[in-house]
Amino acid sequence: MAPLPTPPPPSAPSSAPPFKSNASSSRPNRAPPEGAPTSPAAATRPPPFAMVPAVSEAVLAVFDVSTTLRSQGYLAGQELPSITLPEDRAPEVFERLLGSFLAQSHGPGVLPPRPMPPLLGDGTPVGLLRLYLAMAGLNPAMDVPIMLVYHKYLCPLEASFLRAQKLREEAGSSGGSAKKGKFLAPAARDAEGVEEVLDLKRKRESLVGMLNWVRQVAKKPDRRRSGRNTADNHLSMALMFRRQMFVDDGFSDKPHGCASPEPEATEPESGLTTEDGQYDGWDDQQSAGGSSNWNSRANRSFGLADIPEWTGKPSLLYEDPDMLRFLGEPILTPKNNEVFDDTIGKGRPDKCNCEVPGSTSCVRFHVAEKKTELKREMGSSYYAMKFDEIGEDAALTWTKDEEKKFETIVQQNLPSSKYNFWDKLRAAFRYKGERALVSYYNNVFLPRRRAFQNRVAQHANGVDSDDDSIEPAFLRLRQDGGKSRSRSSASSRNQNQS
Amino acid sequence: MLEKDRIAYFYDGDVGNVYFGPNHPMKPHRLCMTHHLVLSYDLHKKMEIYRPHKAYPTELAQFHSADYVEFLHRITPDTQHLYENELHNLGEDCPVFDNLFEFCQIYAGGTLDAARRLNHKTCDIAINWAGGLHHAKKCEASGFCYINDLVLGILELLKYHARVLYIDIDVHHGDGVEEAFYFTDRVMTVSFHKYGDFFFPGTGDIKDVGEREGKYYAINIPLKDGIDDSGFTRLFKTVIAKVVETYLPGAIVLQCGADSLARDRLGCFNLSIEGHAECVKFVKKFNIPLLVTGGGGYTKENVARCWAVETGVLLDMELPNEIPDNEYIKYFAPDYTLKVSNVNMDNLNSKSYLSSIKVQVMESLRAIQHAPGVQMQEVPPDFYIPDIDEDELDPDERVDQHTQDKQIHRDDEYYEGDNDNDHEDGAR
Repeated sequence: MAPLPTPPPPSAPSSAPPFKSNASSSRPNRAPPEGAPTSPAAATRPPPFAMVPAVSEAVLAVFDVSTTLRSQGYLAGQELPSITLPEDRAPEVFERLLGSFLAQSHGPGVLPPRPMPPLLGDGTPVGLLRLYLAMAGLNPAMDVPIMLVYHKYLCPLEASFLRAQKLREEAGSSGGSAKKGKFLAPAARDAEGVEEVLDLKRKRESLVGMLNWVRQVAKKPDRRRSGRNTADNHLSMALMFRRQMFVDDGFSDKPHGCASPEPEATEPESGLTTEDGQYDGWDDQQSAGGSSNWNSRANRSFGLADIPEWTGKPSLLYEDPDMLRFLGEPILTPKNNEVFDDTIGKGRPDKCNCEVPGSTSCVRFHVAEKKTELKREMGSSYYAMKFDEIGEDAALTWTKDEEKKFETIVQQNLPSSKYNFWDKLRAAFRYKGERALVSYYNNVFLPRRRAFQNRVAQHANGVDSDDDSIEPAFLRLRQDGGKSRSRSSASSRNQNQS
Repeated sequence: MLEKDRIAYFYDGDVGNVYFGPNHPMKPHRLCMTHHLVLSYDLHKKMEIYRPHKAYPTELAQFHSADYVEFLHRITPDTQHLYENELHNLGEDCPVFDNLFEFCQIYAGGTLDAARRLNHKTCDIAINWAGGLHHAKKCEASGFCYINDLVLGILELLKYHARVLYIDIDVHHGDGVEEAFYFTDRVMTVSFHKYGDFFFPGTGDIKDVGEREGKYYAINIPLKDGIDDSGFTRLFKTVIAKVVETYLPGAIVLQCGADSLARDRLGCFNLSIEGHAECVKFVKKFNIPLLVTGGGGYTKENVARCWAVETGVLLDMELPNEIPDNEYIKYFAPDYTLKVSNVNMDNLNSKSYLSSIKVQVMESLRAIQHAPGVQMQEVPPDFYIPDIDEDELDPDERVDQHTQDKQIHRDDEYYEGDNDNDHEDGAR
């Protein structure tokens, strides 16, 4: 289990209340250490690491950040703190340096001045240093699950404290639902707060495992590995948390997400979208690359669709002739009498009149016969569906030399397990274009290989035509000019069976 | 004389000629093979064939984020290295290949056109085998899916219907669609899939039933390896019958991923084509406007067989087993028939397991029966109930039992007893 970051001691006199709090009044004394997705069992603070007792983690962090940034060329002209910085000054110094860094590092375009500290919708300032410390060691790209976890574990605690306080103040009703943005206000869940905390106590153990998993995943730099390997109990749980996070009707489905802790975003329901100028600042940061991934990901709603209101009758009438364009272009319409006819294509007949039924020439004949029939029936639709480009017809635009070249390239690049003959094919046949290349591969090359496999290879379960490995024998056969694909010659030619 | 269903079938000849990359299991050429097989059986004589329009970026952005659509539009194999910061999950599973965007436009356009035709009532059933890419998310690709044509199609249907039912028989969980509609009761999503053992995408637990207004409007049927025809079809029919009876959808969208067939390269079920098609047949019987799409399916010739048979089913035609001569006849060796035989594998879905699934699903459905969704009856959305001061309620207005219960005890099944999130099937 990864060691937990030491949360800042609650006595740290940071003026800013915790990020997630929606209390405008002063923080209750009993508020737990903020922000860190610690184990829910940490009602008592875990003991600090063995650190230099004289220097708090906050100061250490500020010092560390400032020296790192300076070494990267930022903070020119700024006074850097020393290691002896008094702890109570750490937050303001941090914010000053951060502001300077942001101003210097933003991408193209003018960055609107950022208020320091940032303010939530209700004017609550956010303690950036506390937030930074809380998130130390965690991958900001895991922001959503982390916040979810925070929300599910620590918000109910807060809610319960707040409620106690509210009862004291004899506040009226909880004052409403999810108006506070994506971090669902505990207020809206007041009624369940107590019960939920009790539930949490019982369920804590089973969730510690999941939390640890989240932390482990967060530490891994690449969050984009294929989902196939990470599907397990923890992932499902984390996903469930994530869903729970965005419990807000008003704007969870806007393209660029919902309200952010933007100073300007006082009214989340006012329909914040990308068109809204308020997002410019954050977008700049996004394009500047990554440093604000934390925020942009947090703002993004997860995949909800924007569902229209149902008014009881269709919202859209298709009488507009313009709409007819969007119904698909008719290619083939059956004649009336055929639709009601119960007969359809017969299967392959048992007998045919060929000299050697079942031979390659027999098959080829019948396929061609069928094709002619189709072409005649369908007329121009045949071409509209590009049937003239399938099967061996795809080779019509290829000369014999080109075909030979194709096969040679494949053969020469075979042994590597990546079958990267494609790059070479593309290079060699650039003039033909990707589509023609793929078409030839699918319609000519592969079926020929399949024919070879059918006649030669003996697989227990039949041929696996989706196995991209291409038998060398097949290519040798082609290269040797062995055009004869009759059963006898092919099978006698090689013993190579795959 | 029985009135026949009018079938609209969508196909574009270009859709098969994209290449995902070496050794990538998704091979769009299967669509070309399917189409050709369908025509070889003369099925074109029974239905109207359309070429879909290529969906415009604005249409795609009805669900997807604008910058994701723009990204898909712009990215090419040559420029993908420039987008290192935000690839929207493109990369390995969802590679960048030539003509990627056009490919998306075609398959999404097909589903959109299909939905519109259904709305327009010019057909009873609309088929787009190129569609069904159910993993794509709002802002990112996933599981070989870039644009979620199903969500787009459903959104289109929602313009004309109060309620749309989505059924997914792909071996993988229909996560993109479920997620898009997780909070609403206007779409009910039902997915039958393999669950556990790190199988992609990892979601689809039976306990995921939707939330808020959408609570109980998502149904997940998690299955284990080796489920066979009888087990699957029995469960399918029981569940779907109850769903339709309870939910009364105005339209149905059926994703027919063929990777639930036996012998699929990525799948692990043991269904034959008969079993798979049985489900399609069953859904058709409800005579509700039906949009049918493809989906997964990684053994090309079996995909072609399956969807050709199912096209026949939708046309009330049983296809002769012997495959007619056609350009791809070689693929159907050695039997050259429509049969995909079952494999000799263990069915890890015991009778009791399937039975317990059924019981749980029926429970969920009962919840809707007693507290129908917003569109069916004017009941305040569940989520806001706790905020209502009881004194403010009109004492003369009856509140149904379910709502009353909610005021006392949170309905959230999030933590349920001591067994929450423990899976009896050993999936940790």
